[in-house]
Amino acid sequence: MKTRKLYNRIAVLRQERGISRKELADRIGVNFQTVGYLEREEYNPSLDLAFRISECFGLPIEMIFATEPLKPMSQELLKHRKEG
Amino acid sequence: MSIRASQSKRRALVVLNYFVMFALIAVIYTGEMYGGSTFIAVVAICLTLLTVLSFVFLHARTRLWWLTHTKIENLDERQQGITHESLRTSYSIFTVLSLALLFIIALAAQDYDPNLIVAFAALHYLAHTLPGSILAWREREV
Repeated sequence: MKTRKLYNRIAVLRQERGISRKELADRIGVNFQTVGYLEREEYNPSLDLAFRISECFGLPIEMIFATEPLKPMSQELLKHRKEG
Repeated sequence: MSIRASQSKRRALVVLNYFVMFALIAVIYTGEMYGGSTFIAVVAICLTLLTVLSFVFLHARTRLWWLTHTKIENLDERQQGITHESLRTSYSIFTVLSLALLFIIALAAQDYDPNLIVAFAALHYLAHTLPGSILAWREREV
């Protein structure tokens, strides 16, 4: 079965929090090169790893991963506020 | 170094490593057939050194050897995935090469030896059925 490409905000979130790839890798329990693959969207994480990433950033999974290209987070938050 | 350049370098080392290793085997067989000489011995030593060097640069320094030989629990999920994929491809290539070699030896044998044909057939059967048999043994549902 061919898997769909997943888009994510890992690179932006990591830079926002000022942590290195190595630090993030240690926190989520993977090799630092795997963080590079995730950030370049060349690797789709398992559900378990996606949850670990979401717990690490303190954000719901749907704010980090999507099946379509992600808009800037500020735009998403604005949309949520308007809907709310 | 960029990822692409690094991959090109690794691919070049793969080609070099196998090329010098097969050249070494050819030199050893040639030496055996035509009687050893100092020249053949020097060439064999140079090729051995090249094989070792290319192995060190390709497998040891890049940690590829560790990646494919360590316990599965030491790898993260991406590393497990690429290693499984690599082992799957390697199994196919190794099986085809081993069986082809055995078949050639069976055909080239001066005295017809039915044992070699039986061994070829048995190994051919095992190569195709072993992965399925392991699944049948381990998995509750397939």
